[in-house]
Amino acid sequence: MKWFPQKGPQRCSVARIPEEDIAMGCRVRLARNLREHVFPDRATARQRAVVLSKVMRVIQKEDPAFSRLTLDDLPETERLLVYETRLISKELSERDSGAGIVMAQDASVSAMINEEDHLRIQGFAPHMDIEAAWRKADALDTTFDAYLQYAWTPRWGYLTACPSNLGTGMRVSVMFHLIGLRMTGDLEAAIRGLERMRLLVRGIYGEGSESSGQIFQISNMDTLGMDEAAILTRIRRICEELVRQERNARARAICNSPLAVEDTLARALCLLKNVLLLPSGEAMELLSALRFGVSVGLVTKLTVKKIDQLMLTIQPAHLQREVDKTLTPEQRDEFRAVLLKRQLSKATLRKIAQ
Amino acid sequence: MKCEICHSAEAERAIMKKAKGQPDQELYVCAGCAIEAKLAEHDEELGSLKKTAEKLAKKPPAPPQEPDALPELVGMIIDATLEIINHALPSQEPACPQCGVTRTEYRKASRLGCAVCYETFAKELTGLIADMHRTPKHDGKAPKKPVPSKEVQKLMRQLSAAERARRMEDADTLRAAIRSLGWRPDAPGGDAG
Repeated sequence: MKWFPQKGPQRCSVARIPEEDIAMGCRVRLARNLREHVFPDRATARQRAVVLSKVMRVIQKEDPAFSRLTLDDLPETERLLVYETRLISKELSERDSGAGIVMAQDASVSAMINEEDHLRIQGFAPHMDIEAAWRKADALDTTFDAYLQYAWTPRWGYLTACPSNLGTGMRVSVMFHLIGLRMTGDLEAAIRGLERMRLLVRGIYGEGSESSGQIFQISNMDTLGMDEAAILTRIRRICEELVRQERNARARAICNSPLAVEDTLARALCLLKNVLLLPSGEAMELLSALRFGVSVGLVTKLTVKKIDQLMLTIQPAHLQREVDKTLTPEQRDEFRAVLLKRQLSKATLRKIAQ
Repeated sequence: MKCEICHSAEAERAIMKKAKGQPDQELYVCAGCAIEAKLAEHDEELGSLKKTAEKLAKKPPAPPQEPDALPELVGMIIDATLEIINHALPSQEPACPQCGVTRTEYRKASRLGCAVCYETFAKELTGLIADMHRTPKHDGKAPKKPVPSKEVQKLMRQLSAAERARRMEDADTLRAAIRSLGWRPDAPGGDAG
């Protein structure tokens, strides 16, 4: 077993960095369309309303405990709130009419209605349990299949608005915190490698979003030609390798540049405890550094779970919900700084033993 | 070599790109982009034709003291020309019978309008999908009761009628058409191929 450093109170093995600190969560998404209905982008408001109503009726009959939400009734701030929790995409949050979501009580499975496709079924699971996420999405898909006629052909599988999603319509995504690879300067090469293996590397909020706090969403590019089990096996294998590389990178960063690592953490904590205005992008970067620090035992009196919660709480809509009023960007930055200062007051640093 | 416009499909032919104030540029492009470039050229010609027609239409009418049928005639010609021009392009481009999406529209938005689009544009989509995915043949989950589209169902009915009437050539053509849309012609219940 590789240890670093060799002695001292905070010695930490590569294997001791928990997989869940690196793989933060996963999702399996299935794209489906109804055979006789025009796809959402091309449909009129009335046509979208018909699809919305059909889907809602299925859920009402099959599982009344599911939440059924029509986004048309929600104000913009509420839509943004749901978007920040990653339950809906940017595209759905911006749909002018006919958008909806049905969701299990524990939010582990849901379906967006009238996004790019009529249905975007999503199963969620913690860390890298993509098989569990698939089982949830598959079960809801089977429920819909009993009532709705899907657009499907033997040649191209499930037909989707964009041909890039054809076939299984399945996108398996795992969220990774890749700060170690960033610290060692290997991140760009790792991303290029993933892209060469036909994987998509996106930001925290999926398609079209920027990376924030070294958090990346990795997902399969090919949806046609491989069955669901083969896609899951391939993604699992690649993700396990990515976890291994990130673990080694974190270990290398500490072994090779202990002072630089300590400095990064000290700066992050110092800023988080002292600044007066804190934009969300900067806050995410600082929290990302602390998340790494907690994971390798160099930041104490704080947990990875708490940091993950804070990463959500500091988003604009969530901040406004905390104070129950609309804030200007500067007020948000001020409130974010105050909130983080309060939440991180007890966090302390430990030195790397030489 | 990849197409120098879309950078995804294989280049099949060379076209001359014309830009105002610049020398013509030769580009190697795929079939889709070649047609699109041609349509853009048409659009430009159409624009200048429309401008000329509008200028003519704005011309003051001939003085009343000189009764002449010419201005009226010119107006009629311009109206007729504009109508022809306005209807000329859409009729050249096939549109999906269910949602009305044209090839230019789906290429621009990278999205199709409905399931029937996959049949309407099957020929050109075959190449696009083969470029996009490593294996362009579905493997995986299927609906419990897959139902073909109305168009495929219609072809299947026509096939049954042709077989009953022993019109073997027609039956062969229909079988090929059904296969090209991804269904098995010998499964009239709509079973997957």
